[in-house]
Amino acid sequence: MNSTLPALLFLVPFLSALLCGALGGYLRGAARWIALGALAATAALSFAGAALAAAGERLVTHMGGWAPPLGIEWRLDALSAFVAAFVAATALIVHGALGDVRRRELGEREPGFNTCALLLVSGLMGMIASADLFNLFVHLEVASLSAYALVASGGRGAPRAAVRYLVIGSLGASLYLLGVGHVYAATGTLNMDDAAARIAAGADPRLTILALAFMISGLAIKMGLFPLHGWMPGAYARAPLSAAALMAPLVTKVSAYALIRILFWVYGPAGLGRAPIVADLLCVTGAVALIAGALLAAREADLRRLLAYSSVSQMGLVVLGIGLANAAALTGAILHLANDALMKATLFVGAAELAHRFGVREVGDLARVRARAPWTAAAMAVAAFSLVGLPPLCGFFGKWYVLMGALESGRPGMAFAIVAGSLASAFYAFRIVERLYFARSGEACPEREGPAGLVAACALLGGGVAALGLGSDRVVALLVRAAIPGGV
Amino acid sequence: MIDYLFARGPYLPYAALVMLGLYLVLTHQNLFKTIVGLSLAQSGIILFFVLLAVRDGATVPILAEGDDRPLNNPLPHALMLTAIVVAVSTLGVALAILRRLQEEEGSIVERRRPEEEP
Amino acid sequence: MDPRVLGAMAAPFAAAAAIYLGRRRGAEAWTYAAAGVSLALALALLPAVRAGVAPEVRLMGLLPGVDLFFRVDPLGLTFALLAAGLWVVTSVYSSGYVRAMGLENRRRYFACFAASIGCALGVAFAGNVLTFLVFYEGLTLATYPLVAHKETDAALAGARRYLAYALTGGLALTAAAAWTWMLAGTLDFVPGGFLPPRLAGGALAGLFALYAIGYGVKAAVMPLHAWLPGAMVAPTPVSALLHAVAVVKAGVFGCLRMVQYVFGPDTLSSSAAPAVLIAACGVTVVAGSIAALRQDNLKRRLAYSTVVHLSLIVLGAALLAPHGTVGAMLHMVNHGFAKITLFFCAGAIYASTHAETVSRLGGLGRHMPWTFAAFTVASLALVGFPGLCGFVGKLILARGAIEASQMVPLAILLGGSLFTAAYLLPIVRAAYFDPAPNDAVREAPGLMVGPLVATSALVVVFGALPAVINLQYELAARAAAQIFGGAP
Repeated sequence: MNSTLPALLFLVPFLSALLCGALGGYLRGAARWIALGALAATAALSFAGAALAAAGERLVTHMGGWAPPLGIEWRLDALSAFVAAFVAATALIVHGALGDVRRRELGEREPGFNTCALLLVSGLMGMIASADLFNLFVHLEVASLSAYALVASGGRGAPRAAVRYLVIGSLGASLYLLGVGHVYAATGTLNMDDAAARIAAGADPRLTILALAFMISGLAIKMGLFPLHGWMPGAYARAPLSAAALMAPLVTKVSAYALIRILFWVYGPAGLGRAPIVADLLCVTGAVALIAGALLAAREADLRRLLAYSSVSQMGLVVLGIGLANAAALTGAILHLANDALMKATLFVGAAELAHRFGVREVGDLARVRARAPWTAAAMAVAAFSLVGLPPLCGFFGKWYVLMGALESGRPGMAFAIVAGSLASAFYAFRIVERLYFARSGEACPEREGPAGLVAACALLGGGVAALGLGSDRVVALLVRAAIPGGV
Repeated sequence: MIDYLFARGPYLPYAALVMLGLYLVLTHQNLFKTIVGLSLAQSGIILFFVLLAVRDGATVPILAEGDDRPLNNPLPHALMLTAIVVAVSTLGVALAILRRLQEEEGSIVERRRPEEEP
Repeated sequence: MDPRVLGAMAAPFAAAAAIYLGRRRGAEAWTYAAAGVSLALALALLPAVRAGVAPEVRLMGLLPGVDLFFRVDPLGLTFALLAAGLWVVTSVYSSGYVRAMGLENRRRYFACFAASIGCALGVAFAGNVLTFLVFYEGLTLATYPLVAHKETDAALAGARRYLAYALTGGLALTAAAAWTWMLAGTLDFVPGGFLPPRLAGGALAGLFALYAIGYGVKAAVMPLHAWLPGAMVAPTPVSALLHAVAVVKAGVFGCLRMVQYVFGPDTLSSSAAPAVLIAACGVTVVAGSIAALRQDNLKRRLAYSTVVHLSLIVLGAALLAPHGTVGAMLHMVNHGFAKITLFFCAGAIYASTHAETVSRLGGLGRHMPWTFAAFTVASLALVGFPGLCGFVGKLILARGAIEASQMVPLAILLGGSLFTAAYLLPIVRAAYFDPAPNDAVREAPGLMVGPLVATSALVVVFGALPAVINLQYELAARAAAQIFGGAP
């Protein structure tokens, strides 16, 4: 069905970002509402898109009326609708929740920050809705550039972390672009469907496999796949609290989405079959990342760095699911994108609240909070349990499907890695819980959690972790199942 | 060997630029030089796309009456206009951040040892 | 949809929420109310189950084709009645204990206690492996705060060890569940097993190992028992109800479910799995008994005694004979009565004298007549003295061993009883016949002595009253008949 909705997903936040930037200097209050309104509108649009996709619709926009392969295509199918829905919803909740924190930590610079945040969301939405390989690169850079700026707007140490992020991130984007060039050289097209048809028809495998290698390496950097995760802990720990909470749940997930899109829609089983080593490498890297990320997190003192390492670990599970490349594992990988977004949003919003109110930045200091922030602590604990994969929270189901995939493809080693990774996750997850609830601290803190909106958002996100778990059956049946391409 | 190089010769500058850029990024502690390296690598990739567009004996893709020579592919050029914009933006953001770093820490040299982390 | 099933499980969770969110004073009232409701509803299920009906509750779907599903069969109801019934008694004892010991954080204590019982009931009523897993992991989570309750370094270390073991078990069970689902396409418990009858040897062995680790951790079968003595740092009512009854019996109950309702006697009888299980139990009985003999700390000695007796129950399941199952079910209940009495006594002694070690109990019998009378009765019951509850279960277990013509288990059973006499009766002798300490020691508060007298009365009732024994036997025989076929 032709519809402007896929393009609007990008345009609404993008144009609002321009408006926000133009007005910000004069009408700070208005700019604030524009940002929130734009995110709400994006979320509403993406939910409408998800509802249509669940009903079996496939929305496409042809820019300027030019049909592909000449024109640039935007598309919302079950996969992109699912990813768009949770990305937009998470962005809205996180941005809405942290208004107070943002005002306090950014002051004068808030309008600029809001502009960057909207640009980040628009870039992510563009990556999700784009059905064109080069267009995906442009949106990747829109999102990345705003992310660099967001990190740089933090306090002490932020510029250094931002430069590091920028250098590594730009290398990733360049690698991806180089890959796109090779696809173009081999197939003469940049439209995903078109390229897929030509690759299936037997485009020069040397070029297409080289292209795949470049694109995977580039996206692996962007999604913080171990051992290319070096930029992540610093960026998330040094960025402003409100920026880290917005970036951490979303940026890596959307890059993983792009990887899934390219592997299974552009290359497909036929394209991948020509280089089986790609899938095997992804499996092994994912398994290593799953365990190594958890171990790195277990010995990290800084709360937000710990959470970044936890993302490394969870993305490992996603990549493992992608590499296993069967229906069950891919279901798990796609579902786990939403799971980790929600869990990380809960934990980063909670961490922002605790740092903001109680000055807690290290895991050890969590003891100071003790019973003074019951809702925040409960939400963070639920998310931590979900990271370990305790049923019926959402993390369990992502893990379950990938585990099923590993067993179905007859790889007990991978299944063992998943179990071992979960156990390793327990070390850092329960460190948080133990410090929050059972550690004694000499100094009492007079503050209490608040304001109400932030606490409510935290509770909402924590509740969402449980709800997405209990409702995962429905989500899988409605969207994820339809997002698995045929032949997988 | 000669034939191979002759056939691929135009691609050598692209490879050289990317390698040079990567070398700068990986070896230099001065972050400004790192950024220069990044720009070089990006330019190399732009060159790669431009080279893709070239055909033997073709001319610039401007349609003219009575001229039926083959045309070079215009699409990569259009793409690279966008890529150049992206590269320039990256450079701009990078320089802005470097300036803040210089103001804040008085140095734009990368620390290699983690214990020196601020 | 049977409201009694749902109500019995929901009451403890509702109480936990009410206690956590409500006022401090209300905690005990909520506990009593919920304990009463749960027990009453569980009892109300008894006539239906005796009539051969299995009340069911089917809630939302968790995985395609796998629901959150509860089904009350004789085995499950037996465990539920045990947990709910003893919760009532323990609640009274807890009231006395928190006052006598001046326990802090009472809301958390009572809330977690209620949640633990709720999870135990969920385990009891679970109708498929996944539902079982949800509540089994929930049980770990709910009891973790209780072990860590005192918040000392020792308590936190004990809690961490407990978590490490229990989560490992849970993950093994997760893997086992995923594998089972892949092999059988269903997860619903069926009397006599639901796995495809002709499993490859490797799959059978691997699956059995995973299940055995998953359930063996909570059932404290060696070498997976090390958490149990460590968890004795918890407040005594926790050790009494959870680590002598609810948690460890959930593991034993899981073993019964695995052997009889997942694999089934037919599948297992042709494999080496039962022999392995019997060997592990035999080692546990001998090594656990020796450890108990060498242990001077009273609660730890009781913990090792628990380890030994749990293995006797698992042994009954591993016999794959009708009377083995019946004996296991009977001993599961009867050991619960006797062991909770012993722990209650240990707590009462600690509250009166602050004595934690066996060597300091000499001569206390005359000062604390009720406590030591109960201790004597319960010790004799565990040894297997006729007329007390322990005798009945062991008698039938022995019959099961003879039925299966396996003499090794019979020897283990009798040896275990002898060992029990060796590590429990010297305490009784010392208490009555050693010289009394000089300082005046008085009986513990009535709220503590009352419950331990009540449970020791249960020990006598379930060992001597034919009507009660018959009822218990009838339920167990009905379960055995469903599994092995034939008349109950």
